[in-house]
Amino acid sequence: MTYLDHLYRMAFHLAKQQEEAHDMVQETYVRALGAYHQFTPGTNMKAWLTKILYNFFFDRFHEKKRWVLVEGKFGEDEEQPDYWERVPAENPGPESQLLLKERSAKIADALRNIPEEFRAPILLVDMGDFSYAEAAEILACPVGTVRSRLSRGRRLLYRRLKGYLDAPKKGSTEE
Amino acid sequence: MNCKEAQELITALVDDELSASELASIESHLRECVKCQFAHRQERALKTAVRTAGSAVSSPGDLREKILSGLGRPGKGKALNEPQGPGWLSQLAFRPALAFALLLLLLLPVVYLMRSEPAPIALSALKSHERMVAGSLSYTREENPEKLKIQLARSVDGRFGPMGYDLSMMGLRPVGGAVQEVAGRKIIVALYEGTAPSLTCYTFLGTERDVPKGAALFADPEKKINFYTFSHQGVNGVMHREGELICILVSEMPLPELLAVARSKAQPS
Repeated sequence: MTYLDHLYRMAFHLAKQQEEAHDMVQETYVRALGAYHQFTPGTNMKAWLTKILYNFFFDRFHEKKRWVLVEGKFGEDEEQPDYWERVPAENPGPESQLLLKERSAKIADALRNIPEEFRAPILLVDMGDFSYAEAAEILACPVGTVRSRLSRGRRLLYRRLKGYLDAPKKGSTEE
Repeated sequence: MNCKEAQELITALVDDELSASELASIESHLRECVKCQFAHRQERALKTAVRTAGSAVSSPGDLREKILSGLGRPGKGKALNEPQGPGWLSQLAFRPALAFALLLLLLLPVVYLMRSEPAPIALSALKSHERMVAGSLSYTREENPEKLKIQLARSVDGRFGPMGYDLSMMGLRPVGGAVQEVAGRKIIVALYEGTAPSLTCYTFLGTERDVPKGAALFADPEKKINFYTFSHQGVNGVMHREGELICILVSEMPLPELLAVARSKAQPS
């Protein structure tokens, strides 16, 4: 099924419970069916479906804050300039020995615990491989907002993952 | 540029989203700043880790089935499944059909690629639909479904009758009908109007040889009926066979919706 894995991945990290992710994806396909005439063949169906999914998430859950976990301290904390002071000057230790599965679970947990406004751009750009312009269209915000939220979001995420992720030494490759 | 100003540019550098001038600016800063060099490597590593974590998540095996077949069952009573109001959700009355139409949505590009010029009867149906809706083709007005059915069957000497579909669930009701003759064959036409786009139902004696060349085939595994879809200048048609009868539904409503209607109403031979 077209983009099923992608949509589920987005829903999985936006939602709090697996069943809620199921419902989000299910609802996305139903809504896509109802609004299919708005889709122009040949355009980006992945982005179109993702926008439907995100709108559903936003409408039904974000506003009611039923299961979106928001930790209000992030904003204040994040503004402190000492983040850069706390970045170690060298690779702080040996490479993590955690298995990929554990690491993925840790990252998923960390993602769920940062505010949705910062989490969504990370999901779209890093997991969904969307450009800033595509993410802006999905989130209905300016491209500059995507960039700034992504920057802040990654720093929030890094704090959550400190100890699990070590930046590679200069000259090494990650990809 | 100070390190705080460099933050967003490092992010955009990691994502390859910088303009030429921004790229020159951040590269200049990075050459001078060890902390930002580290932050750059750190952010690249984080992006890679997040991407890898994402690829570790895939949809559960039963989700696809849940999407396609679960739509046919009543809601689970949870807030997520509660109807939100009119519009597309009214189609949930056709939930079994939605599952099939969903398949069509996903195969939509194929449908568009396969569209071609319909055969004579199918083309005639598409063209007469437009004329009936526009009022330029005369037809007998009769809003009583039973009376209309009897009247139309008499017009073909009782050899067959109209399908007589009840489309009230989607806001359409029969308003009249006519009998047309194409290539020496009688065709019963019933016109439905209401809150949804008008729909005409063509019924005639035939076989699947009447399927327009190049029409897209959608085989319904549940009802074991083949549906053929085709389009011409914004008007869509869905054809299927019930015994000796061929039925063509024609409307300007989106093809998936039209197919959903046909699939929900069609009866296996």
